[in-house]
Amino acid sequence: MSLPKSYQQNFSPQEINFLAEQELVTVIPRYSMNGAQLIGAKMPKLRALNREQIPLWLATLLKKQEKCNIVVPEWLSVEYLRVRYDEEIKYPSKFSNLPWHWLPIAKKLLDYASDDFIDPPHEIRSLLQDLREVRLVKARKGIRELNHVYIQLDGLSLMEINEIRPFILEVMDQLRKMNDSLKVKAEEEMPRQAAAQMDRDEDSDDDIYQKE
Amino acid sequence: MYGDLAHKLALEAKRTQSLDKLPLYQDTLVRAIVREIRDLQKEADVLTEHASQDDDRVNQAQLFVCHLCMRRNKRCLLAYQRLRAERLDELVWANNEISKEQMDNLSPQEQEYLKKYNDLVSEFKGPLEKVDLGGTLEPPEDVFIDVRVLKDAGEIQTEYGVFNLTKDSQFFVRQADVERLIQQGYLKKL
Amino acid sequence: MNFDDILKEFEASKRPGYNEDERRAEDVRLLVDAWVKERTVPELLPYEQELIDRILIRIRKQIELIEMNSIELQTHEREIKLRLVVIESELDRVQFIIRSYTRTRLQKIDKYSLYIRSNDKETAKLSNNEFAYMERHLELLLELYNSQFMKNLPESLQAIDETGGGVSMIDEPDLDRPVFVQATAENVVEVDDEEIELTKNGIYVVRYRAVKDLVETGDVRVL
Repeated sequence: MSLPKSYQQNFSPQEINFLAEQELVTVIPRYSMNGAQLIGAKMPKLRALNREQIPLWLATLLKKQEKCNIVVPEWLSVEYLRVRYDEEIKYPSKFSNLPWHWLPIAKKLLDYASDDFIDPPHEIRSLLQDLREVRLVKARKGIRELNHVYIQLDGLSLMEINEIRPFILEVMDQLRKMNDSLKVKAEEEMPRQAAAQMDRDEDSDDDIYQKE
Repeated sequence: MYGDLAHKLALEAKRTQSLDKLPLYQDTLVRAIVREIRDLQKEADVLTEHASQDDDRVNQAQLFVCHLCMRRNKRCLLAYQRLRAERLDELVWANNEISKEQMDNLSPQEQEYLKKYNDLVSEFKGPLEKVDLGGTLEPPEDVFIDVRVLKDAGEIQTEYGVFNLTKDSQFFVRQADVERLIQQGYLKKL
Repeated sequence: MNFDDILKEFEASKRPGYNEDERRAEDVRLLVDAWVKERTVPELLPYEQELIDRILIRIRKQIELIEMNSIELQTHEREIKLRLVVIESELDRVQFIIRSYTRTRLQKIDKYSLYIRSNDKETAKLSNNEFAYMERHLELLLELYNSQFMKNLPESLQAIDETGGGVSMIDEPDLDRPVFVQATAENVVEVDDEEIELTKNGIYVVRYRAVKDLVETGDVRVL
């Protein structure tokens, strides 16, 4: 097989990470650099201390080379995360509003740009961990509500979706198969029921005739 | 009992699924199943000849069983062979050298298939050569890394120039270029 | 790229508001989308011939760029080196996507080849290269089956595409398999005689068959 089984119905965490790296972040160049012609959007010409938006993969590359600092997004602050956490607790059947790629972006920035954070990184890590856990528990609970027709999962991020995907797909599939077999049974019942109904109709017809 | 051999083959196929390497090709078993199918066909021919004009239920039932067994045997043969063929495909895509032990476990026809499929994949890769279809299916991370030289390793030639790997010096290099040296302990990834 | 394409691109670049850079960014976005879709959806999707062709041309250019600049490295070290690192890192990323996209498709093609061959609409989804691969692979498999046992079976049993007798030998993609989607617009879909309202930005897990058309029009995004 040209594609290993493990990739056949799900993405690996590394692949989700890869998708997250396409997201734009703001950097503050430390030096001026010429741009570069790329296959996708070009790398812009960078001027020292002039903010620019570039994809995360490029930002971390430059950061590692000490060519820039990264502007940590607003949502990666103690205040924002704490509010979200409180929301998670307050509304047990909803997921709070976090960016689509919050997990991989947070991890990458903490790993490679911890010095660019205003709030203490360890506090951020701790809050992220708490958020992760409470949402995971919620997602698992939500799986109890699974039915074979559809499920709604508003508010989950891609990484979180990817993590529960295999389980949900498996369960939904089983439910669907069970339901299909019930349908077959019902269809087999139908001719019998229809015949019974016909008998009843015939009886009532007789009544009509008799009245006449 | 008809179908027992096929059952054995099916079990073997199942076992193969959980093994890393392909086990020995079950030549004897396969031949036996083919013989069984031919025997069943002979029986079916006899039954068809002797079918009386009227509704001979017994004859029909026996014929039906014959056909079922033959079909089942055939499906088991195909399932077994297809499973092995898929594993051979995987070996080609994995791009690793195939050990002699593994080759010895293949039938001559499978060895032939392996070679031809390898050619087919090479041909397919051709137009997309710039993309290196046989490359890793893991997303790229850290194409370039910082390394420190642990022991003198002489010079290496890369697209980015010649690096003199003297002890304690540090370089920013393409990971692919130095992977082996890291594995061998000459360099350390920082 | 043939002459028509060159002409098209030339004309497109003359249009007011056309931004080469935006177009390139969009192409990579489309490529990522195509990859995600192909991995998520149970059936084979039409091959993105034009998109891939455009990107392959740019890949070739980048490789040439790297080769040209490597020679100058000895003299203008620093700056060029960093640019090359950036160019090569991006190149790696794009190569990865195309690689994964292609092999995902091959896996589906191998799995459903009998079905694809029997159906013109399905066959149209293959690139020429893929079609040639599929035909040849089937040929090799048949050769293998034949030489191992098939040719020794009674003639009536020598088909590999029987559909009678309960279980069909032709594997078809399971369109009822559930997929994760996000609605980009309001819509109503039907599943099992039930109507489900899709609200914008809502995330749903629903069987592919119910949203197949919406995936095509982009009203729904697979995740």
